[in-house]
Amino acid sequence: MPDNEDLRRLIEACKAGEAAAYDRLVDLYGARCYGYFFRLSGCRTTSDDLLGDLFVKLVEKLGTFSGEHFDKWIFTVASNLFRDYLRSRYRRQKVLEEKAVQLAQLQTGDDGENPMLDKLQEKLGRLDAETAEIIMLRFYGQLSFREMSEIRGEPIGTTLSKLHRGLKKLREMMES
Amino acid sequence: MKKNKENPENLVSLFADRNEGLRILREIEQAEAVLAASSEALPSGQALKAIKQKVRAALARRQRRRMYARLWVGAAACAVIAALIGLLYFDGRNEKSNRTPIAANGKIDSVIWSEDDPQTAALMQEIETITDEMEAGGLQWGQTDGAHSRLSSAVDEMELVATNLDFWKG
Repeated sequence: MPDNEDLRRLIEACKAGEAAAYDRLVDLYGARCYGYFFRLSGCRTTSDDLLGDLFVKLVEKLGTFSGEHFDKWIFTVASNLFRDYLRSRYRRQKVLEEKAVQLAQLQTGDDGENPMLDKLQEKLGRLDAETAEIIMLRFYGQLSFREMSEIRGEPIGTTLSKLHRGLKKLREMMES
Repeated sequence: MKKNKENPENLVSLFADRNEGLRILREIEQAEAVLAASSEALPSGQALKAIKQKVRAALARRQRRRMYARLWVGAAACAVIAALIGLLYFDGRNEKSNRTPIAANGKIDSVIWSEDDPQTAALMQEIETITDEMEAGGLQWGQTDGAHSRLSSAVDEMELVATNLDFWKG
């Protein structure tokens, strides 16, 4: 990851509309944001779509970034994007169906067209959506507890408690 | 995983005693290590390439929108300036046209109604003469002229002839 000064310059270049700067931003944040979307949706196609939507949204919204913590800002946009995605009833249904198919494939040992499916994905699918999102925000967003609580609009103690419980449960499931 | 600058020990101490806080932090770190050891979820190179193309298209769209916005603002500014110039021009002309008729009216009035004007006096004299002649001929204002009287007489005469001669009886 670039240091703060490099990142600031990169964002300024993006704000000026330089396509090469956006390419670099995609290279820097693409993997983390993709991981966040993939772990929450469990679907490669959905994650590709959401990642594309995220960077297109950045083109429109980067002008509003005030220049404090870019990681927090971009994962706030990603989080809102994923929530919008889930809000659609049809899509919610689709995600649930995809997860059910993936779990069935895992249980039969047949990954089909999803070689990325792994034990972590399976266990994450067993957590409730809110807990899974908190864990992924922490893991892929590399956000502090305070930043996470600000994104979620809840007291920091609540976020800390939910994260602790969720991670503990996930670890137990992974080690079982 | 990059560590953020937050001091978790201080933070946890706000919600739990020291030992309990340390235990919570240890459990979080252990679980995060399990997460980190799990397989990475990475986008394909093809997907990243497609996203970069999408971003370039979005940038081009934004640039076009900005160009149209600039053109629109420019056109609107020109229209406003033209309207202001027009307003000032016509206002100036109205002021002039408002002043001129007042002066002209005064002149015309004084010319028409001046009794000293020989042309007006001649015209008035002619009107009076015609009026006198008409009155002398028995024609009054609001009455019918002689043609109607002549027509009534002819009708009366024909009725008289018809009565006297009884020509309708055969």
